[in-house]
Amino acid sequence: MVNNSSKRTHLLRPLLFLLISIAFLNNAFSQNISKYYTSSTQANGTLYFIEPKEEFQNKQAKQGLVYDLTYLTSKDSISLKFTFTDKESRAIDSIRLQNDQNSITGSTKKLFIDLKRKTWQHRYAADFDFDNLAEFYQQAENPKIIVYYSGKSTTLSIKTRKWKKEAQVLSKIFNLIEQNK
Amino acid sequence: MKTLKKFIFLAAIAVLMSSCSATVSPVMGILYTDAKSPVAVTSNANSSKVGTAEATSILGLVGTGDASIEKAAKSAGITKIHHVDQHGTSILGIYAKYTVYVYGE
Repeated sequence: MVNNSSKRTHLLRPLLFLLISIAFLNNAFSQNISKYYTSSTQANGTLYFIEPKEEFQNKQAKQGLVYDLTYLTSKDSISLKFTFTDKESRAIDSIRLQNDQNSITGSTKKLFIDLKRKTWQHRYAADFDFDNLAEFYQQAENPKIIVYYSGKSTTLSIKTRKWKKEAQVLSKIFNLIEQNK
Repeated sequence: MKTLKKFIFLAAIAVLMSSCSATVSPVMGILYTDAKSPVAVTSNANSSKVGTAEATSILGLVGTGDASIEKAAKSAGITKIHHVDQHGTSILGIYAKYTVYVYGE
């Protein structure tokens, strides 16, 4: 009797460990790109929504920028919507995505500005050419995002490790969109 | 026998914890939940914009965020809603996230 229950627990332990490992490893390390985007079929093409997870920052100025991308396959341009957080309110004119080899600039359109505690949240949208943005994610060098406002600018950057992951995931998604066009 | 008791105890804790930080999902996993599902559809034609909003919960003790349709629509400048989806994520009932996706023009 004692032997049977001890055998059972010996079997249970590795089984439980295996189940937990599969659940977590599958999501954590397999780079499942489906969790980074959604797609919806429309009358005039497929609508893709991409959610990059990493934030660009300017730690000295305590500024941050998170963005998402929306693309309808019947159009040439891709819409980048971003939330820029700063301790002061700004009237943003344009945004530039820059790395060592090239840069792309888009003029911005204000969606709304909000104040959360002491931080201003600026929600803006900018359009970029789909091919230019796809090329931007193929660059290995760390990029910078430059936000222009009232004749001034601020530069936000991302850590190398985070960019490598983000560029890899987004390149795969851009490739997938290209294949489905 | 002791190990089996420990396992049952831990399983019971996991079940209890799963209701702590619960999220909205058509399917629920005690260990892990990650599922998308529909919320609403309107008669408006087509969508070219997508907006999101989210709320998170930790241990079922602290729950913060604004996962309203209005917040999601505002984040993308949507004035005509086509359809709304939701995405629930929960890890061991310790951390849960609820995201709403609004599609429209």
